[in-house]
Amino acid sequence: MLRRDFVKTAAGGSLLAAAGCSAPTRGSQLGERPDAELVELAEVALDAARRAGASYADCRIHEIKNQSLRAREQRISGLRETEERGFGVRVIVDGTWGYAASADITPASLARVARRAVALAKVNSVLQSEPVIQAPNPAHVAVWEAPIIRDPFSVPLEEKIERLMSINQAALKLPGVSFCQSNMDFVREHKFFACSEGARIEQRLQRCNPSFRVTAVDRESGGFESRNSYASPQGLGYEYIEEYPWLADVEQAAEDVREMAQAPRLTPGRYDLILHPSNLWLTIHESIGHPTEFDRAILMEANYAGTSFLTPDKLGKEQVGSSLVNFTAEKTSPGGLASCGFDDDGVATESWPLIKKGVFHDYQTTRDQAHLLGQAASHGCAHAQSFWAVPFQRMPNINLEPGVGSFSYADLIAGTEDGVLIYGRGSYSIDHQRFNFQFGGQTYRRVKNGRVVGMLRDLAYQSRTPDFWNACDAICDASEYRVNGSFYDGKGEPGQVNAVSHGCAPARFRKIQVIDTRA
Amino acid sequence: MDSNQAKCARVIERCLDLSDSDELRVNVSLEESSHLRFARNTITTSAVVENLSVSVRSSFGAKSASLTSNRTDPDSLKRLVQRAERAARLMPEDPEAMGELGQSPRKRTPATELEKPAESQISMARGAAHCIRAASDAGLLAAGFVQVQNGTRAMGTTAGLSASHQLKEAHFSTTVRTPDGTGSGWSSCAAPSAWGLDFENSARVAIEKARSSARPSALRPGTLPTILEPACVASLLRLLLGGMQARSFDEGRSAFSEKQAGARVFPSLVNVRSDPFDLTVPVQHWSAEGLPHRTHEWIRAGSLGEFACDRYWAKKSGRRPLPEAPNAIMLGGQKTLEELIASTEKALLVTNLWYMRQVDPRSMLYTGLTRDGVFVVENGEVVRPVNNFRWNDSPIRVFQQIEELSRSERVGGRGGVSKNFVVPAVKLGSFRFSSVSEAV
Repeated sequence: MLRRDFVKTAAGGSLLAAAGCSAPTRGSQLGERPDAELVELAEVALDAARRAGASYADCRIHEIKNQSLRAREQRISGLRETEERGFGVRVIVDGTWGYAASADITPASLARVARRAVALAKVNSVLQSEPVIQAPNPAHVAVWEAPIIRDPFSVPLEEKIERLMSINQAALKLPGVSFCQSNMDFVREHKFFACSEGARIEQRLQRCNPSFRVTAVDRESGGFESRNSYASPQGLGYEYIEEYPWLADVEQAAEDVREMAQAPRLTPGRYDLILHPSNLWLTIHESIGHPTEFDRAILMEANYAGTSFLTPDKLGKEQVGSSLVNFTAEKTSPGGLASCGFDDDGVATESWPLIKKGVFHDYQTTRDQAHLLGQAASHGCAHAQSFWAVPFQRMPNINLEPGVGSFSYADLIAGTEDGVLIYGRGSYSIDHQRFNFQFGGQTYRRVKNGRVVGMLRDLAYQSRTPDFWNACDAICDASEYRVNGSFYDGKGEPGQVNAVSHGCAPARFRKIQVIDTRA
Repeated sequence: MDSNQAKCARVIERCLDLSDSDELRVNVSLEESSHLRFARNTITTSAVVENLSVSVRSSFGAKSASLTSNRTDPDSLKRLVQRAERAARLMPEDPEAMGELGQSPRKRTPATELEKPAESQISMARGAAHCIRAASDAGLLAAGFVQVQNGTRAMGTTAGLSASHQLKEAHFSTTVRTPDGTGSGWSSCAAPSAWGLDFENSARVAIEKARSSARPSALRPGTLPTILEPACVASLLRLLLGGMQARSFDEGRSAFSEKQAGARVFPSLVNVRSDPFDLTVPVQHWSAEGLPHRTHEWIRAGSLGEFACDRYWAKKSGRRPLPEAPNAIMLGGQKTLEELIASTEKALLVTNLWYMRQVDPRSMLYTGLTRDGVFVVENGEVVRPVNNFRWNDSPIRVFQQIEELSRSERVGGRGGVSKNFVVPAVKLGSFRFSSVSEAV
């Protein structure tokens, strides 16, 4: 039995509460001018592009540092650090984009690469039948830095090692635990954006991704069970790792894997699902986040990630969810994985509704998409993973607004007669238009007559996106709101990854199909 | 040695010279890649990227750390090596540490001349233009992606290992859709250069699939006899090979049971090998830690071969060290896909699989979708398209269902996954479709 909902005190919740996440605020704008050397370098590229015939140019100088520390059982299995620095020049020539990038950040290279981008656009302009049109955008001059408390790259390696080993050692002491692996990943970005319209923007971003996995092997039966931690990637510094209740999560995980090994399976059928934020965030990501990407809706991702059932003709009409369901997109919340001051088109980030009272309201857009919707401005969703990547439309943080009035997690469980309570991220799969999905979790518990009565195993839930969200009949209040997310959301060709957060409170969905995955 | 190889060799030599480590491993990747992307019958993005990155792994006894950077001027290389050494000294001793390898992998045939970037870009533009024009003339909408990657991957260690591989790859894929959104077809091809890509055939196949998959009729899910096209087989084989890990097996965390080790698990017509020197699917012929890839039979006449095993576990368990499969070549039959269909009484024909995710590692159960056309085959003919499905099945069980094979061909998965696979289409006794997906 779940001894306590330790995730109520998880760092993500407390820190964001301290930062006032209920009223998202912008990250710090230090009021300084961008680095003069970066400005000078970028202007070499912009000037060369203009001289070569570009009607628009931007230059992004981008540095990313990654640190990854891995531990399994009693050993540190690896330390890897990566730093990647370079620049990319994007141009419009004859209504066609061109992009060129290099790691050689010198004036000669900047000029050469800019000319290369222009030449590429010219060659490919013969293929252009929809000239690029960019929405107007003010030319911001700004410096922005993500508000973190403790820089993970300043934390001594010994401290990080001790943390991972303490998690593993605590796990291995618990009955039944055979293996434990734990990880910490950190990313720090420093990027400078300048464009021919006058923008000069410098930003520093940070994010972290700590986790563990506990495994119990039963040699007699030949079976094994695992449970991942309920920690989540965050756009925060090392303070998240310091405050997260690792040992409580480990103890619970060990208890869970023991219980799972003996737990009964559930007869397939339709059940009421209570989805904890540690599970629901991924359903939000896949079934709401992706279909509201405008480029998918207009077939620009058809060769890879797919398209969307939310086509433009459904704006303002399609009842995607029940009237309780409101989704907000934003890149502004402190600690959000996609949060920043400005996107990679130089657009100031904002918050806007995607779904209002269950009705499809708006998309995620970039500067070159806004006009296709008849909108005057971009929503600021352009993003490039690194200097070598072409910026394109990527998901912002997308949140399910909490319920109105007082309605706790305990109230939700107490009001459920026959259901399944699901924690944690498990298997996930959705079709290429974002209709048919199947999700699993880390743990499953039966709810009967308002009480959690025992563990279940080997199940997953299947639904169709509009059916699922229209079945939502209860969402807990803001006190139960938690933020989880993904470090590696993949899209595009060549493939890029993006980090994105999803906040929500626990919610209930009526009569959702549950399958036995061992049948 | 070409100029790229010489450049990589200089970087390696400099790092090795700078090192105070007990042991140092240096990996260098020099690459110039170009791409062109189109959708809605128009170009969307194109890019050319130059990058040179170096990764150093410093070891002091059993302590080690790896650092990677793409700053390769002399001062930056010095800082990189020093930082790696500082980090390595701080690390605890790793009881599973193995020393660096000193024996160089067998040399490949000499490097061949690379297609010039400007030539690549012209070939890519021409190929994309053909695809767009063909789709447009047919009243359809084309999307696609072509990428050329040229460069060098090289490695050196203080123990004396030296290796170099010329990277020379081009890939193209296209998805063609009907304007009413009811039909979608996909095709792909690969070659050493953009000039060698068969844009015309890929466009033709994708257009035919788009047309023939339009206005699908409804079909209920079930466990049904099925023909999987090569792209599907490559996707499933990649998952199957990924599960053939010695350490997980020995630790009791594998989907393969003890009694299956070395035993015949699949029909005898299932044969899968890796060959790092097969010119159809050229790959780097050594692993990340410098182990040479060798020709290896993962499945021979249906029996499981040795599993992948890192050097530490090989030493501990008495196995041979064996890196994971760098490519995969599955022996095919004599029939073309069309002949396989013609000899089939009743089955579903699936073009592609998508969004596969593991559901249960204990049985290697995966879930996923079908994509780009599902068709009913009756009495040797493709008679109608049907809706897509969600499926839940295990690659182990799927391969156990194989009854017949077509000739093998190289395939490219979506997003470049499984691009180094040569596989046949397979006729299965059954495949588990679990629910309908209305996605097209």
